[in-house]
Amino acid sequence: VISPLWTELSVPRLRQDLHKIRLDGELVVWQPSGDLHRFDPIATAVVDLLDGERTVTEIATLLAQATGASPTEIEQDVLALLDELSQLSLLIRPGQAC
Amino acid sequence: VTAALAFSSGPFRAHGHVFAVASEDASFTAYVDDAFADLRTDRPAAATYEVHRMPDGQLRVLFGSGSVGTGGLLSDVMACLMWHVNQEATWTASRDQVVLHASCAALDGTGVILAGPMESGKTTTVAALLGAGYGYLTDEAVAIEPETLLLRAYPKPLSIDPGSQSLLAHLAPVHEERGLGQWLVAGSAVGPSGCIDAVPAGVAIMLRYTPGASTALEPLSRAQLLVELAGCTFHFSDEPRRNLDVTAAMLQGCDTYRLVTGNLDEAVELVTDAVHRRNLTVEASR
Repeated sequence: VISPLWTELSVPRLRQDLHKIRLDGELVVWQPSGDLHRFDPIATAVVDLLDGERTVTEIATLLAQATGASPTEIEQDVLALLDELSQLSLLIRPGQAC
Repeated sequence: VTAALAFSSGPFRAHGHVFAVASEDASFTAYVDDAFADLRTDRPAAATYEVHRMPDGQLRVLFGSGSVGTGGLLSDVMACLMWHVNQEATWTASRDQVVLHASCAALDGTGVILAGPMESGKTTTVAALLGAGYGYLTDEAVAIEPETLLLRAYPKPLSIDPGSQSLLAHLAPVHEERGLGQWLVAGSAVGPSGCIDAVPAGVAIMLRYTPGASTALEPLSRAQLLVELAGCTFHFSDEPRRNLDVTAAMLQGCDTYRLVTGNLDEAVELVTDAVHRRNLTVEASR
């Protein structure tokens, strides 16, 4: 799945107004709209790297080094997760100020 | 409404709500005395519920300048009173504590939280636990104190709906009039261990009642339970960040499960095993 919004060169970043809680490797995220989301440990590892400084390729490379999986496959998984996070309004979209 | 109110009962404390009940009907205040026995306090009442008999024979509960409810049956009027007390209790406690829509009991110093939506079996399960020797904290609203993470009791009478009464037939009120509709039974009268004011949490459970299902206690991740408990937190949106942080901190000290209840005795056995496991783990880590 190739994301129309996110590409390998995108530099994704989580919104700043989220409240994040870690429990046993999982992440619970509350957003001011009132919605709550839980991320399993794998998704949490991705979310932790969405700092607005790393590209998708760099994120995939880091995760590949940590897991031993193929960077290409991980890149596709990261892009799919970014689409999901975008739909939940958890990311600052490319070109968005904050 | 002009009749003098000759009988009174209280004061009672429901979290931060301290109240008395006055009525012209001795049978009503006698019922309040029995049902609310575990809420008695030495603090002066800040407000009084007035229960008046109307010209048409109905009983009406007044609080301040408003009507809380009207009913023909004693149990209907008590249910109105109980509903209003619950609202005030959760409202006052939510100001500085996290208040979960959950029942709570304790065994060997370990608090067991039983959370869930309406009709999930909170009261029925806690009644069965009390019968098995647990101490009572609440069947409706347990407060988590942010500084200590202790669970604070609200020992209201157990509200036993008609649908659960066959399972808890031994708790049927002796007075025939009190047995119509919902039963209100003081928690201290249900089991041998009485009430407990505060206890640390050790086991947190999300309840699901499924008629005919096999009873099972399944591990649930703390993060998943946190999300589900947010939906069971009174006035959650008033202080969402605090409510999440405090609940998460409390869950760090708990074993967490989902309980699917088909058979009540089996559920009690599974919960008690979980408490014993928890206590053994805590003991071993010391």
